[in-house]
Amino acid sequence: MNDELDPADISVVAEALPLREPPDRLKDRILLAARADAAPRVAVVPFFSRLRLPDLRVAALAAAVVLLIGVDATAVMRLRAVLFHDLRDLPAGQVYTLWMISADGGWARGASFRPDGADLPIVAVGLDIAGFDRCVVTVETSTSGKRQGPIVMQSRLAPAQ
Amino acid sequence: MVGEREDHDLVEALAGRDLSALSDLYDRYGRIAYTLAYRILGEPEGAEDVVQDAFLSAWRGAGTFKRERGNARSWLLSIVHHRAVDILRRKTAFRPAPLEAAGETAADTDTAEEAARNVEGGTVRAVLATLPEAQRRTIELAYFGGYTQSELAGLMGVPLGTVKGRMRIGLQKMRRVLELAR
Repeated sequence: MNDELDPADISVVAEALPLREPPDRLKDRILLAARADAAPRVAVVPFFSRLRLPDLRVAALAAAVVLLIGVDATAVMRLRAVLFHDLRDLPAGQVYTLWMISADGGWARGASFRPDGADLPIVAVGLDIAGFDRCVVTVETSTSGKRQGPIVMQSRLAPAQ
Repeated sequence: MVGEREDHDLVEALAGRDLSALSDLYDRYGRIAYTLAYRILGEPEGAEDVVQDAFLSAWRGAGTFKRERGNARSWLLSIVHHRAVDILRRKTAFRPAPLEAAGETAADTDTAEEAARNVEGGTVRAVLATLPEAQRRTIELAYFGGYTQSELAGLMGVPLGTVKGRMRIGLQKMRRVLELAR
């Protein structure tokens, strides 16, 4: 890393570049991420204990999302649902999308959803989590295809043993 | 412009979690931040990620901003630069590109302030082009190629003091021109 450069000189040298227009979506990405960053955090233990879902286990918590993981009748570990706290409304044409990410960086699309006005929305998923070690939520303009939008939440998948 | 907040006021407002301040700061510096990130990384997706990361870093770290240590613009651009260079250096195919490879299309100007800034940028760009090749090349590689001064000395086969001298003299010229343009 080149820490020997003076910030004021970086600013001067940047002036020498022909200005390049960023994509329009970039500002929205930044503001959306900042808004999510400013959202209140949830306390998982008392929150989860109120739900009384004995067959589900809390695997991980990051920011305002709680993952509910359980083992089904065929002994497959599944991410059954995701609980969101303080989920923000989205403009028309946008959806939240849950993605599963494998250890080698592969992305698999999970579920797409929009807030339904509930205080604690629960999104049913039912995904086999074998081979995945993270999940993220992005804001997308399509319910299919590759990830295009910004990440607004993410969590490590760490099912209880 | 009447009612427009100063940069340091915007940063103070960021520390207070004011999203409108972040929006204003982006309107003011998003374009040059993206330009700088794009110049270093050479691809749009990476530049977008760096700019988002930098503005979020400013959003989260506005409380640590010290006005007496520099202005908000320099602070923000130094974050962009630091992150972009960090990514560049982690790439296995680490190859500097000449300045001319930067975006050829100047952006449209939609305000007098932006128009003035483009004039300043054009002037600084012209000065950079007139610098002796060794000074220009050294500045390019240090600021856009992610090389340290020691690495540049080895790359160019000159003493470290020569690298520092080239950068100092070249930057002095650029700063002088920028001050005159303002």
